[in-house]
Amino acid sequence: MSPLGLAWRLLWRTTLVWTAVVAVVVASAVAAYQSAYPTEASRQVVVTVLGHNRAFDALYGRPVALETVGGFLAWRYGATATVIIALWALLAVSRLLRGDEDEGRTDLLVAGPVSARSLLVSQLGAFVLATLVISGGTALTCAASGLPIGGSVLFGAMVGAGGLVFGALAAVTSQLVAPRRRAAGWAGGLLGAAYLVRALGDATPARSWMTWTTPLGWIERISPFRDPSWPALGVVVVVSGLLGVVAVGLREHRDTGEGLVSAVGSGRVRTRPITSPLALDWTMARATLFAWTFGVAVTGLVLGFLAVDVVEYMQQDQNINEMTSRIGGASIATINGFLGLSFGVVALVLAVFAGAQVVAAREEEGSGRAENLLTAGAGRVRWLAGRVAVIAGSVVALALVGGVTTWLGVVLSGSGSDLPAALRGSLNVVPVAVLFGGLTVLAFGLLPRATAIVAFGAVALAYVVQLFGSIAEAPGWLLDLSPFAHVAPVPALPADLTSATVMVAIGLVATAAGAVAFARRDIASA
Amino acid sequence: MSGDVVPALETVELTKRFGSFTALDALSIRVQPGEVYGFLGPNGAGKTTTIRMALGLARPTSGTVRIFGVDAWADASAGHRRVAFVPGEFAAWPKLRGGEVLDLLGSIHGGFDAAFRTELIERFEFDPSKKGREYSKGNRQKIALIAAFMVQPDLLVLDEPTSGLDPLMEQQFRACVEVARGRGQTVFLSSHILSEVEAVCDRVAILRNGRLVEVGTLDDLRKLNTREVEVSFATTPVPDLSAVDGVEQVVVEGSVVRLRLRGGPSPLLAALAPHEVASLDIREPSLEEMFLTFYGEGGS
Repeated sequence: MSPLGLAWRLLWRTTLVWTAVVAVVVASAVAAYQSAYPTEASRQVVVTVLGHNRAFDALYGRPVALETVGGFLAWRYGATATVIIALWALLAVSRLLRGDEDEGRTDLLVAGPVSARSLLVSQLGAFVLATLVISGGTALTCAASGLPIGGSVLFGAMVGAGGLVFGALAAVTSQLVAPRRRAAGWAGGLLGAAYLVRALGDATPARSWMTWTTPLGWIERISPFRDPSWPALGVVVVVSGLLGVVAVGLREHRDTGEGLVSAVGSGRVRTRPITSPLALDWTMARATLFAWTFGVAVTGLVLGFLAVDVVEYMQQDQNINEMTSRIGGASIATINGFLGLSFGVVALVLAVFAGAQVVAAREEEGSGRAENLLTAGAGRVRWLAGRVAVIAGSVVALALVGGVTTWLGVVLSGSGSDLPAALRGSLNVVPVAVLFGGLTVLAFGLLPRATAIVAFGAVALAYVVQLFGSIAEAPGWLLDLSPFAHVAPVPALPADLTSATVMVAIGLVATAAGAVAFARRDIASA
Repeated sequence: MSGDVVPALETVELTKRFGSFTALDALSIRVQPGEVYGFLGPNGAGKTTTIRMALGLARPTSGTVRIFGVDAWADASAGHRRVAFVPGEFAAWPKLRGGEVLDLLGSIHGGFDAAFRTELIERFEFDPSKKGREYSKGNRQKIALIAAFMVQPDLLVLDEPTSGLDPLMEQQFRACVEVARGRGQTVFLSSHILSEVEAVCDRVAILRNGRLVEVGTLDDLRKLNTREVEVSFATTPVPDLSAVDGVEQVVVEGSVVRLRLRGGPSPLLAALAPHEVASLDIREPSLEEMFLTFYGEGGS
């Protein structure tokens, strides 16, 4: 099998899955829009209500042509689909380029007749093919839903472009650092930064220049269904190509299995010995926790900083204020209202964090490092309990950081704010992280090799379900299926204690069941 | 062997199946305290599977394995307090220094003799100041060996412990096993390196396709095997030895006769006595030859 074929074999499944997800979102969004807003008059209401809300501008981007099906689709789901495909791309590329290399499998190929450079070119070729499949599938779905052909093609290109540019970025970070998790982490951090910069730029006209500094801003300018910008698409493609060339150029300057930024010889000497598995977990988790703390802190600061702008703008116009302000019985035209919505983002981040940390425990087991501790006399359940304790403590700490930095963001932008209210809001999202963390522990106990799939799949599924559920006309039970829909927008509304209790209870029971299953199964190496 | 003492390691009808595949089939062995016990078998024979069950990492499908009388699955941590394990390939933590790993594993085990640790570090010429990702395979293996020997456990379970070590370090390993034997520690050594097993082991068990083929001292095993004999006669024609008790596969080349001898040499010596013999060479089979004989038997 050729290197290209091998790479494609690792890519095609997730490519088809995400093409299908985007297709279903597109088709149902088009159908929902047409049935909910059949008349010209009703569509003008959409423009007035949704088109003049700074919070939505920040989340989804600048609205264009909301009175058309395509315009609404591009605005409401274009940015989200782009980010989802960008996430897929950076995970897929780092796995393709780094995963095999971390395991030493690439050595076999590179020691043979395939040069490291041509292997990388083949892998990137397979990845470009995958983004074309996603673009093509999305464009076909749009066209089949009755949207204009030109706009459909550009919308497909827009979604694929998100994958292309962040996949290319991951190709570069995969040359810079090892192992896979670090390479994906760097690319993911850059994606997060790009999203925040675009949100800042889109939320305030005075800062709209900022959107030009990020690939997500360029992609937004493609604007497929009204005044499309081919140059914006060209910029994304050219920059992706350049990143690909940089990655290939860097490949020859590094050793197989290593990154250009080598970790060898770095770090200080610890003065106190590590004498227990718990101390070891804490030492290992600390570096990761710092990175997540940084990410949450930046997110909190930006959201807090935005809050004042958004709210002031909405309060200026009494007319808009009345129409847009009531969501779920709470006013979002207040700072607390905006914060309540913003902490939904923190909920997603913490759920992913909790799952990822349980996956790290599975990696300790799969690599054989956990066996070193267990055979030296560390009890199995105690080992797992120690890790769970570190994860739980980290989740609460991250939630507190989110609350404090959001409050700080509001204060920095020159407005008064209530710290206890912000903390209540951020701690309110902890139960959903307990739920997803618990489900991942259960998977770790019962199906260890599926731990990562459950951890990230469950969060992605809940997120996609919420996307569907929030589409107008969707049945109410669909939205209810997503745990994220049960997080009340605290501090705008009081906390939903019943939901929180149920989520924590399920999370704890799942954790306990997972621990029992882990105690009764074989230790499974990779 | 008497059954009065509690064995260091004992398996009774120990069986492990993965789906329909039987990795280990009703293995019953008994390792006495103070013994250096060799565990031999080709790849996939079930050696590592046995060890994983003995360490409580895997659950027996049926049968039991006990460490000093305590069930290895039901009470794994009781077993671990008296056992140290060296895997075939030690998985190091990329960011931990070698010395830190030794501290950690030693502390979990319940403490160790710092002076002996230093002695081992010198013996294996190990640099404890590097980080996990910087060690070569052989050096990672040294971490596991030092960590296991330094806690001076009652039972050392070693699974291909010298893979990746150079011949000098292998010598050091053998010396450490001798020291452990001198202290009365028990050693369970699974190995592919037959010379290593031959050099250090009191008894040997041979495993094939998940079943026990043979167990005994090296002398016991030799008795089951044939010896190679080469006789040079001073005169030709040479006598016909093929009818002598225990003699097989006779090959005549001029005045030299090569044959295989099963059992004691007396009948052959008696048959040779009337003739003028220029030289006589009886060679004991190496473990390697026995190994090949055992695996070759019954084929596939």
